[in-house]
Amino acid sequence: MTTPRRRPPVARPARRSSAAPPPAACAQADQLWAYLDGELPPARARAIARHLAACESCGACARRLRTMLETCRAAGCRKLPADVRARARERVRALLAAARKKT
Amino acid sequence: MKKVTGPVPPPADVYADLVREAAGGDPAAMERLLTRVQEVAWRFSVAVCGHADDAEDAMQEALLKTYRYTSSIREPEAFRPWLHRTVKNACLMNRRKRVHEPPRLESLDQPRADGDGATFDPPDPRRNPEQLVANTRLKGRLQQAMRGLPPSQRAIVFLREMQGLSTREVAQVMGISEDNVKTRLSRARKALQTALERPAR
Ligand SMILES: [Zn+2]
Repeated sequence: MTTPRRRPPVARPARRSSAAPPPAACAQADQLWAYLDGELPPARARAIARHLAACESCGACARRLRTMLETCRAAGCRKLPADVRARARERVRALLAAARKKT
Repeated sequence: MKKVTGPVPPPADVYADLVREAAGGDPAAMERLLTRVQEVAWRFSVAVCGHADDAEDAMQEALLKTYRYTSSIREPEAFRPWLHRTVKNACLMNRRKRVHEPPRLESLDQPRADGDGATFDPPDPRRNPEQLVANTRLKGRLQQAMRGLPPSQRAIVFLREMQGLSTREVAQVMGISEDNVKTRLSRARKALQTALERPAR
């Protein structure tokens, strides 16, 4: 009854206002990721940054990917529940106290 | 809304310095290191293995192995991949002990029985309320989306996106080639993005 929802391809052709300078070719998804990961050579990164500022669809796409990355980073700093943290600290104390006794 | 499109560099390797200080006999550094490795073990257990009950076993394992390893370490830079590999193996051992149980993934924000919510770090006060609501929704969706990934992709997302390990380090932890890491990460990223942006039902 439902057809699978199709996502638009990551890099769509540019929709830009006539005032904006004509952007260079639209970035492919892997290039955008490499850019966000900070893995591109500086000259290439600058070219992408210029393109993202000028091209509405690539800019929007880069912001979506960025949001996802930031959400993941936040999940990676997740705080431990207080009881779990307390037990972790207790284990450290017990281990270090036992080690001190040995020496 | 501010239009931020700059790179999101991965968090720096905080372990190398800490390991150096701890190995050099700084007791405060040792305490911080041993606490930190347990935090990583807990996060891995919950986000990747989905067995929060096993998290304490993995934490204990990470604690003891780190304590032993730190006294003999030659390359502090090798600590981060070593730690994550140790944690991964500890979780796999736990899973083997309970093969008859169906895998589940504890909710990333599920309130616990003792009333202490497992929460993310405090929200960034610079963000406006609408953004905070959106962020909470995104976190819920991320956790859902993680559940849908094959286990190896889930581990790769954890290592690379959540912990900031390099492709090379992820390859070391997973015991696969760097190309293989890139392929699986790219698949996982597509799947996560689709899931995060799917209109709410
Ligand atoms: Zn474009």
